[in-house]
Amino acid sequence: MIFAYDLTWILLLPTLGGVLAMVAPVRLSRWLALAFSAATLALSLWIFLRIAVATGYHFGSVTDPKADPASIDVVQLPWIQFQLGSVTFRIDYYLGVDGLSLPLVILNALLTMLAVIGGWEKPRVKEYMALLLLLEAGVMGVFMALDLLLFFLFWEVELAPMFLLIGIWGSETLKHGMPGRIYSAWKFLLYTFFGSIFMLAGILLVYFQAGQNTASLPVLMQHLLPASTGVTVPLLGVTMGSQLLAFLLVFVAFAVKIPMFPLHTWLPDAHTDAPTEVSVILAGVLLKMGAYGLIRICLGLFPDGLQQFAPLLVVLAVINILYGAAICLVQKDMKRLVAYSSVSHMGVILLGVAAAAMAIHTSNPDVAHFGTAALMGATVQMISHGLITSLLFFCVGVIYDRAHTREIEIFGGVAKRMPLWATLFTFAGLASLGLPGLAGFVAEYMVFTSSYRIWPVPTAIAVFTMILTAAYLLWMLKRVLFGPFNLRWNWLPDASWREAIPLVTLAAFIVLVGVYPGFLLDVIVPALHHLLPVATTALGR
Amino acid sequence: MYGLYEYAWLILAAPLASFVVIVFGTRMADLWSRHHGQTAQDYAAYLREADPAFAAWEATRGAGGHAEQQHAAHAAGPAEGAAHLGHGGEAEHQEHHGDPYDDDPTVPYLTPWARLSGYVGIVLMLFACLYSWLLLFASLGLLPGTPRLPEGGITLFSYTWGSDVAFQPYTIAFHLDNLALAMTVVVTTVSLLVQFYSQGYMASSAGYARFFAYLSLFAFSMLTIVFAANFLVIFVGWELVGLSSYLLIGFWINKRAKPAEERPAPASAALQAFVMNRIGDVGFILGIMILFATTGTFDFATLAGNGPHGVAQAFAGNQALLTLAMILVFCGAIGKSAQVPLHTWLPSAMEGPTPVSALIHAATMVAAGVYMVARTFALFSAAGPQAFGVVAWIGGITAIFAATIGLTQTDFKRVLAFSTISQLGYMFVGLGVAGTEIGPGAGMFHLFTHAFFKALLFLGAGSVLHALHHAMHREVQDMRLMGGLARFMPITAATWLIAGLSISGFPFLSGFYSKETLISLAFEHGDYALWAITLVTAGLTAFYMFRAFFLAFGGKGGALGGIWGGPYRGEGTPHESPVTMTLPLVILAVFSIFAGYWVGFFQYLDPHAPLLDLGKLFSDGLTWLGVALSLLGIAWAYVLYCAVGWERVHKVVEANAVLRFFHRLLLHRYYVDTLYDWIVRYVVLGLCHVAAAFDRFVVDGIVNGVAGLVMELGSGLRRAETGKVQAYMTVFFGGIAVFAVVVFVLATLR
Repeated sequence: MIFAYDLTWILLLPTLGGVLAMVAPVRLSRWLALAFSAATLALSLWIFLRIAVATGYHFGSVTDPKADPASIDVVQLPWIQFQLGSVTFRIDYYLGVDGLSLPLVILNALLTMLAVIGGWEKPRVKEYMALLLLLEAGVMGVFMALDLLLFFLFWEVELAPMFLLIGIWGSETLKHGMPGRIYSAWKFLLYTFFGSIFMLAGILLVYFQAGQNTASLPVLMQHLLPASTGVTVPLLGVTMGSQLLAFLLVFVAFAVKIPMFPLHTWLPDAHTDAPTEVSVILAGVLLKMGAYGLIRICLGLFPDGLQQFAPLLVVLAVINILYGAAICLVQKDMKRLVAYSSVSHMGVILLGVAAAAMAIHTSNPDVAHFGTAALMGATVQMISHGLITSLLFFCVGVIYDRAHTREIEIFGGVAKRMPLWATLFTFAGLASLGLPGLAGFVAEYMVFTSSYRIWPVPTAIAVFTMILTAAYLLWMLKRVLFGPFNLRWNWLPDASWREAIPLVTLAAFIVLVGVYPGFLLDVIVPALHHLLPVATTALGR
Repeated sequence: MYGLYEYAWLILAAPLASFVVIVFGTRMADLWSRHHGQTAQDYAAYLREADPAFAAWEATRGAGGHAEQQHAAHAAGPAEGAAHLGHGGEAEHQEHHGDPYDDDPTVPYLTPWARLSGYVGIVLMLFACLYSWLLLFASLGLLPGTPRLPEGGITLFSYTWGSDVAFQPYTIAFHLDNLALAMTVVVTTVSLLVQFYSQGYMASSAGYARFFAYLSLFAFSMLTIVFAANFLVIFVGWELVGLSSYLLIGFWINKRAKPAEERPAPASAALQAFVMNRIGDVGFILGIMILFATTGTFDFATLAGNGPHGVAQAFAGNQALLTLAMILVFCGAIGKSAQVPLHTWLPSAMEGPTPVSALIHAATMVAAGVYMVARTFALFSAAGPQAFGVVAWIGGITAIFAATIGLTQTDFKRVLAFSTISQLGYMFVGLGVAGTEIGPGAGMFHLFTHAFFKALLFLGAGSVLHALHHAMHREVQDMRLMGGLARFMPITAATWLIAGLSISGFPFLSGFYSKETLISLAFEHGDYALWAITLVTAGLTAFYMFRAFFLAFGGKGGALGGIWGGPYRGEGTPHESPVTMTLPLVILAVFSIFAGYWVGFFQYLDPHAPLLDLGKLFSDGLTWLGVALSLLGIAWAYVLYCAVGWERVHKVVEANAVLRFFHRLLLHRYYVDTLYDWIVRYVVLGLCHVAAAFDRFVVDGIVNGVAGLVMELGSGLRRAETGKVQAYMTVFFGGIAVFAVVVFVLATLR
């Protein structure tokens, strides 16, 4: 029975909560939303604890057929199956969480709950809460789906609530002759659709080429496409390895989502026009869908294709890192600055993956270690960027709700009137610039130090982002919070208790990951070992 | 067996504990016990009551001050465009709103919670300090029943980031050896004295609790560097001291720049300090990356060892790469220790409260670069001679460069800042010329003595500024407004004199031993150019220190020929500072005299190093040449500022074109700040503007262009929307047919 699986409830709880929030009276609906988002979080934590206790903190990998069933949580039920001539179509209801996806599931649940708290006083609050919860359900599906076609389904499901959230509650500032919310919502939607088309083509290619009559990720990982025998692409006439072709098709969707230069321009617009909580979810989890897909699907299904592409990927990663940071330095809008800083920080993930890709077939155990550490750094960066950027967006939201502007130059010395908020905003800025003891440092230090072994020159160039990141964040903080006090803001009250809850919660997690990353690394690492198979054997495991 | 030592992690934990207690406990209570309104209206009402400046401001512009009015106010507001990174922004001094809010908010009295914050910090630091002294005595073999530390030191505690074998290098590990212990004693002692002193200095600041929290955070971060067992931990500490420095420089968050005195706003100074340090840190981490990629470890002991992961084996046949790595690592020290060309942040850092300047920007944090080189001394030794060459020459150039600037500065604290930069240069010379047989002792010895007398100089300066603030009711740092202060504040003057003599290398004071040893080492090891530079710098040091002393405390017409007292050029009547401030001065004065008598220092750090040979030091003619130059510097300062008087000196300089040129050049610090400002504003920000424009008009432009094209096409295709169901169905099934063909093609491809 489908309802007997807790993963089903991870999807159902937010969906139900969304529907209930919509139909219930306004008084109740926000409490319902809070209750259901909290229940989702509790359930995801329960799964985490159950596995941790049952296995003694040994998390498995869902794509590893030899994994201890207690170390993962999987549900596989047949869903759609039909025959069309010689072609069999089959989509399974196939969900699973392991060390790689469970932290992201928890992150999604946590951020949605905090977003519900943050959006407590929104206009049209019922619809707002409902859409936030539906969005959560869609994203959960992406992180849990193990059937590629189901993955694609959830990938598209997430779009609708996001489109509406930006389009309805977004900002009215005119952009290209229409309200910014309309422009940005469409831009977001079309960009993602653009990527999705390629992903669907890629998935179909894998489905038919592998000939397994299933889109199940673990099965396909056992039957990788040939890397060397070429396929001639129709229309283009280019011959390339079918793995590379499939990789490129699928990767376009992830590259848009991450976002990777030059497919990133939807992000600053979406962020500046989205309401605070939507920005939080967008930066905190939606971008991670791309990075997760890159690691889970591209690295798992197309290791050779990824390796062939890695030299280009590393160049794009460096561009992402430095170009994004450079643009930040001249931004006038706080939120736009944070958005571009996401471009820069997500580049670190690309760098780590590019380094790991080169370690796939190595027989040198040293290189394997460096590859594992780089990939781990990239994975931790997903979590830490999710926490830190969400905190930054929440902080910007606090001042925007009061001042109705985010323009950096208008403020000045605001820390005088808002000490609590200023402390947390400074904390967020410091976390984002990679201060040791906080989450961002763990990820970036691991990626940079270990990628250097594999890509010395690109990594050496990318490290200069340390200067730019410090400069743009602290310069922004200086202009907003410190310096001569602008009496215009004398009436500003400090962050309220309700506003402080998300800020403090996120800050606590950032410190936890930064000081003792072991609890996170040990969860993730088995899944990564399964993705870097040769590395594992080289270690004699 | 090493029980006593194994609890040394308590020294590290103590300041962290006080930070946590203050931030989450007493400071919260302190804020809570003062009123905080919940809504804007409440708050405005409260402000009207509590803050006359606010009431006055409100009266001038009508009640409220809400969103609708803001845009209008903004239009008339500051010139936004001129804002730029770094120091002395015009944007700051063109803004004239909020004059009454310039300075740090003061409170008439401290709440009990604020006081308690101070006590928490002091008591825990006192514990750390006593414990570190106890360990120092034990490690010297003076404590019966406790053995000395083993040569390699002991590990205090460690944990890895992850249990997987690939993460083994990523270990947080703390380690105690004699080098660490010597530094710990310096850090805890100066921290304790500075915290004690701050009770008086910060007595009326609204941010009293916050100040002690930051000081504790700093002590913790600094001790992290000191106890670091590998490059990961030292980098963590490295960035954390950068954070505490950032927070403390910018402690007075709302204070504005003073362009007339070329003083940046504290917020700008803090930003500049952090970013400039980060420039050095990029070099640092690049060096770490090269070492890590080649050896696979961050651990100091493993790197220095002979195993397969040691640099000796891993870099065999590739010493040039190791040399490069060590020079890059040294870049971190250049940033942190404010060496040329990354020195400009330290004078700006003087915008922080003076106790901070004493602790962080003179005695301890800026010396972290020296400590780091000492810690990785074996790696530098394994590298080519160019590595130590770079260390020594950067140090030498910085020493004389900063000393010449110090000659002309009129800001009391800024003279001391350049003196710090110059003395740090000395330490690097000491490390660079020493060679393996002496080890890091020479440079560290100067660090050790310098910490005490430089802290004393700064705290003494703080005492003066505190007194003048009370006398003149404004902030005065210009020495031209001082003079004759020895009459008013004899304890401050006397202790300052001792420190001044000590830094000038006056015989038998601590600075004499450490500095003359250093200078003679340069000579013995054949670095004659560096020897000459350090010798000349010694003379310059004596001159500018006593120029400062005579300008502040003495003057023409004072007692003892103008040395003690003289005409006071300011307003009001200064008074000697309270005992909370003078007591640390006296204690530091004792250290400034006697710290140099630890003759076994070299051996303490490195058992194979020789004892400090006092007999040789005293009998060497070169030692006395150095002393003579220093005395000459003091005498010349006396002639100019006691016998002649600074007004006449100034007139002579202004009248002579050559002198005037050099005076301007030095006064403006060789225009390095101006150059950096220009680079940041036009080159860096220019490039960033280009990138932003490229993003907007090219990358996004293409996207919008394509979208526009599709819209055009769409409006053409609109005619297809006939409203006929048949037409729609045709297209629908046509689409499915196309899709089926695609699937078929793909399926047959396999």
